[in-house]
Amino acid sequence: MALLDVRELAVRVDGKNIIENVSLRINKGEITVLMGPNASGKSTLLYSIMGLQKYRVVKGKILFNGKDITNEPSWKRARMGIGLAFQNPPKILIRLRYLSRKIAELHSFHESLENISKLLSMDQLLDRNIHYGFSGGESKRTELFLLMLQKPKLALLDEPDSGVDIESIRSIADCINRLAENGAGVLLVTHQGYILRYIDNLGRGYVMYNGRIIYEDDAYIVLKKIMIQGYSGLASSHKKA
Amino acid sequence: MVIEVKIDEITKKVLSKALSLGLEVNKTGSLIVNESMAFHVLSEALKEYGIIYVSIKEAFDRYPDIIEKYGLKMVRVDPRNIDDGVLLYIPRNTKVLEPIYTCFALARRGVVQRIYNLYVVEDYSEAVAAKGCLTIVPEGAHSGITEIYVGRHAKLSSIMIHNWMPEVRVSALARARLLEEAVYYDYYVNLTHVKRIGSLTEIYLEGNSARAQADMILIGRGRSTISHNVMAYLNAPKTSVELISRMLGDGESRVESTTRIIANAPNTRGHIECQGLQLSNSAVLTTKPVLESHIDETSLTHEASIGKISEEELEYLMAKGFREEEAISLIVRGFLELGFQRVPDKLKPVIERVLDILSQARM
Repeated sequence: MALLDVRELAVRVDGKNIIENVSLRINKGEITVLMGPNASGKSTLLYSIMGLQKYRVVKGKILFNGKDITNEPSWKRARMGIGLAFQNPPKILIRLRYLSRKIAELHSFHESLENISKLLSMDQLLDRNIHYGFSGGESKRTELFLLMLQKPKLALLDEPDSGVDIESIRSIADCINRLAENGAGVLLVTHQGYILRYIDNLGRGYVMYNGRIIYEDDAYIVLKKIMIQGYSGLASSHKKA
Repeated sequence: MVIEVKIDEITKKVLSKALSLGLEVNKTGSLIVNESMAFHVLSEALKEYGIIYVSIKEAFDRYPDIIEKYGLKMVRVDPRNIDDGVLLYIPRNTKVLEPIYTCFALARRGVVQRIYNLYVVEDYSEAVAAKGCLTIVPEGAHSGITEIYVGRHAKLSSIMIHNWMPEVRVSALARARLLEEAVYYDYYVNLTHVKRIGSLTEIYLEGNSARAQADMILIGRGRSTISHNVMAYLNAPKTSVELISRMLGDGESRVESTTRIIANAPNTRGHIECQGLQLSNSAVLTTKPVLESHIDETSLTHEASIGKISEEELEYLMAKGFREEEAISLIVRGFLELGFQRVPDKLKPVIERVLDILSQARM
């Protein structure tokens, strides 16, 4: 049984159909890659799996560990073990240290916060309000830091490598590898794919285009195809492996 | 030579003595003035360092010189009309870095409790005063007047926590006078539903380079009416002040915060920050930041905003696993914490507890 099984999903946002007939499966301990050009529906798919209110599933099902969670609220999905690292998180007037403590309590994270914060060089951010004045890299590292405190069974990562310097990309990739080593299934959305060179065990790869999955294969092959044909080239051949 | 007084050690001795006398004082060292025996023991212990901490009635009898020199300067008070209060006098070159707690309880239904406090921190001294006012009866009135003197190079941090009941009316007046290089921090928070609070704090920065900061948290619940006014007078060169208010409006409450800085001397600076968070459509929040300059060499600024909790913030926190009401509590806590970042370390645990209480309660 797959950890996550998305079946023929269609999602509407503000009355507009954004994704159509999307199916994908993610297994435990596997890093699955989702690629696609801007506005192809990648983030929408992640937010729908997380259960954010604005993203209305109009068709299809989302199964997590075999259980239908399509109509569960996001907080319940988070407590079941689904975690999302946002691409553009909101700025909130909450000290990161305080929020981290609360998330760790909520998800029974008993390891020392300092260990994880060191891994992602978070020390200087902990006493600041979350995402206030953070650089792109700081926000990405913060999202990953909070995600790790959730001890997720399924980690949804929305472009954790965009706007991030090379050094940060390495530490972000290390954390993603660690999540998978600990048995989490990972759905990694990436626009450019640069981070993939630091990922240890890539599993399947999917390409989204205009709200649909247009190609699926081993992630390395997907990456190679995109580099050769580009997204539009791949879309024009419009075939699934 | 500066003497540093270890108030926590003294408090432990006082508590053990108080307990041996059969008094049930709590472990945090909070003392209720009405618990006269425990108060008396602490007062005696502090006397060893030249610190005077006595009930105001005793002060009128035993320390008329201090009352005359520092007290009743800015307000007219007839000692016969005072029910309670304290005199806290810190002599020159003495530092008391742990908070001295004073708590006034309104214990009789339907009466007007009249309080007069006088805090004097002499030159080169430092003190942290924590005051709590609470009621154990559902209805009554509390009227408090506090006069504050902060000498040259002296520092006073004062926190006031109000904990009332829905039918209690409160009026509070505080006046602070600061000399050269003096520093004064004033923190105010009301915890509970109250019928009406009207308060006025006036800060007079009289000595060169004196600094002041006033942070206030105004919580409107039920049908509370809260009107909080702070005025700061920059009367000497290089003085500066920062006034920060945060208001929460819930139920059908009305909360008004008026903050005013009056610049009368050159090279002065003042900043006002008012923020309101609206939790109910029936609540009314009003913020009035006023800057008044009588001189051209001053820099006065203000920022004010009122808003509601954004859907995006709620959604974000819920995706981390918090239920909606838990997410709201986190946002409220963060909002209230703003401005309290410069609270003295010794007061931080008090503030943390207060913020937890405020954010956990259903607004």
